[in-house]
Amino acid sequence: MADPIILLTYILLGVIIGSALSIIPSLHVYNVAPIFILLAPTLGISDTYLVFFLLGNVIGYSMLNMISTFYFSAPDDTTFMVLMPSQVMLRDGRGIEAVLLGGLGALIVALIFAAISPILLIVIPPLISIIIPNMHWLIALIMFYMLLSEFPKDVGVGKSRWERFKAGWRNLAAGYLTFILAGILGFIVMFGNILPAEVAYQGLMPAFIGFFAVPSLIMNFFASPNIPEQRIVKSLDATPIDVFKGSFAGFLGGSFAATAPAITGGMGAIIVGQAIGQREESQFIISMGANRFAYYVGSFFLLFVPGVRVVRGGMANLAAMVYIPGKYMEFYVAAAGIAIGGCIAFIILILTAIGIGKWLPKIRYDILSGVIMVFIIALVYFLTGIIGLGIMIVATGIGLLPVLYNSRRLHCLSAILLPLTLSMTGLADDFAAILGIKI
Amino acid sequence: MKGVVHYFVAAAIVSLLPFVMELSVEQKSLIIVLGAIAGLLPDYIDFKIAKFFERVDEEILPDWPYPDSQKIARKIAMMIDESWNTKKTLNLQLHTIKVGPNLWRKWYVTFDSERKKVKVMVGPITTTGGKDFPETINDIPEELRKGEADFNAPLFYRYKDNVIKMRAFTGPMIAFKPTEDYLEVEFLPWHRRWSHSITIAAVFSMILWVLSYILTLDINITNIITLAFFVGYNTHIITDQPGYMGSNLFWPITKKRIRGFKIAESMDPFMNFFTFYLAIMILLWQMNTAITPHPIDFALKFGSLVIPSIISFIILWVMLPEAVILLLRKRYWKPPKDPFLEELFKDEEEAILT
Repeated sequence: MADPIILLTYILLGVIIGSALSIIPSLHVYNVAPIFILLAPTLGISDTYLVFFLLGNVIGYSMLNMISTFYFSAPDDTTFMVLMPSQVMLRDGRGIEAVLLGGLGALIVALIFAAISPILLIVIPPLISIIIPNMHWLIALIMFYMLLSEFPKDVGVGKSRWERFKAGWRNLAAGYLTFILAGILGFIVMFGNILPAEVAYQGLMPAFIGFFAVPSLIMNFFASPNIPEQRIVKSLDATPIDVFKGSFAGFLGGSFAATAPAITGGMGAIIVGQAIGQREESQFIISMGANRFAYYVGSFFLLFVPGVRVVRGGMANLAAMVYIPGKYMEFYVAAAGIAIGGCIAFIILILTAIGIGKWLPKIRYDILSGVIMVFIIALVYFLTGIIGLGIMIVATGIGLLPVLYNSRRLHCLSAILLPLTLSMTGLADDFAAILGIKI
Repeated sequence: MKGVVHYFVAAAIVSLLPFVMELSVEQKSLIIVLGAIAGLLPDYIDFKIAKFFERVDEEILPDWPYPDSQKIARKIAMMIDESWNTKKTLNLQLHTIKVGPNLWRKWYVTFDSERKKVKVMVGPITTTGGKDFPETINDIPEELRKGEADFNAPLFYRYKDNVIKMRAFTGPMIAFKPTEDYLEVEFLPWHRRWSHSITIAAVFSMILWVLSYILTLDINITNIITLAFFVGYNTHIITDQPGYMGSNLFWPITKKRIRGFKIAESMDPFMNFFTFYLAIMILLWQMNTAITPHPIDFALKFGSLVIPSIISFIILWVMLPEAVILLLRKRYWKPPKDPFLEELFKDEEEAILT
């Protein structure tokens, strides 16, 4: 039986290493985890310890990746929505504050998870039993909401009705096109067997880097913003109500996404944010931090629930290959590890945010974006080969559409939603026939 | 109600229809999704189609970088009189002022029907999220900040606080509609008109019935699909009614919007969450009961006393949390107040006092 103290130590080690890796823009811990899994037997680390180490990685990533998003504009599918307000704060010299607001949301969720862990043991198994038979229409419900709920940005100026219609529908049409193209790409990647078997589990990684990270880097490369001196704040510009409302919304949205398959943190955040009428900037940033922590850590935490096998998210899929939950002790150690690891990751976040924040005005964003881009290309090539690189390039083209036409980047998530909906409703074969691919 | 609330309420209500859950779970049908889409459709039609095709007689695009309030007020006042004198409905599109990627300059228009004045004021810069930067009001030269102009028409305008606010994204349209006795100002004339009517829901449903029958050749499935659509569409119309604006419920039989019950405004976060939570709970109950054996037994047992599932679910999982939301609303929610509007109304208050 694994020693709880050693398990906790592995979580904390995972937090430190995960935090360090997460500062590197666009590097996702999901992409590094396979390396750890391969190395573990050589280092004599047992599967159980390895899984707790990976939990630490996810905690560190969920907290520290905010640096990459807020300072270097390299978001993933859970943080792209926060780009606009965070960039405004960065240009106002409030970048450190923005990072810490997001971190605060994440920290609160870490503590909530530990507090409600006994309730999760009761709630999760029946909830999963309810969701599974209803999953196909639940996913379609979310997918169509994402598609239909975007509003036109402008009515345009001009007397002609068609002129106004065209101006208003520019972003909507771009959004629908993004949805269709991303869905087709996702379908081909998931069912088209285009990646070699040994890297097939990484299939959507190059697509997601192309959808979210590369377009932001391209924009940064050309815009090359001058970042002013970042102020070190002694207090955060948020009222207790902002903190409560932001954390609550983020926790609900992230937990919903963590529990429901195929729903990512970004979608959960939009639905819950709209349902509770979230508008204020600080509240929004807090909720984004809370949301991504609840989504990433929550989905992995579900793997530890004894008696049921809940595999949600990329890291849980990897860990499920070597770990079967069964012990209540391990579940509670994971809960304690999330709280303690969350606190440690928050401290690391404060130090890193201030350290890198001071250095930001000296950064040439065009050069930095170029360097990150070269790194990403190398990473995608190393992990998925030339075909993965091709997927990333196509995804970048699709991901640039919403950026250029000011529509929702969330439509790119059709890459997951559309193939899964088609598959679950039995329409995948028909769709494959239309595309002319064999599945 | 917000779009997301309409959508989930429609899904929840449609899930209560006979056979819908059975079809959804056993036949992998997406009928609930169809109902939910129907629940979003009235606003989709208005905000994505109707508003672009509404006639625009005049537009106000404030000057850059300093909007001239006086000029704007004069233009609106002239339009009011023109509409009244010619007895012709005139539509005015007001535009917002974008000053940065996430920043907007607020401005306001209000009508003083008693003194026959239209007032315009330029406000501070605000973020898309609604955070104001009060000091930026000083960027605008004093003489351009406030303006007013007289009109002669007997004007009638009564919607919420009587102030039209131009803030972020797209500005609103207003219509000046002459009647026999007065000139009515209609806010968003293209909204909640024919699209928010029960008659149009019936027409769309009939079209869907024909299409569905041609595609499926199954009268039972066709009837269920049509009913789901009709119910989903109408949940939107009904859940809009507690607000202020109301809807034209029986267009084309009725010509005007029937006023809302003014219980809660559409942006009230607590009422939105109250309704959203109710919808989620209905869906949870329906999903649970559609599976045999039910994964969750909501029944409460105290020795030999058993409280049936439906009662304990309604009390513990619906009424209790909803009561908490309502209590929180009573304690914490205040309709958003714009401090800059006080300046707009200052003269009016002074006039009343003197």
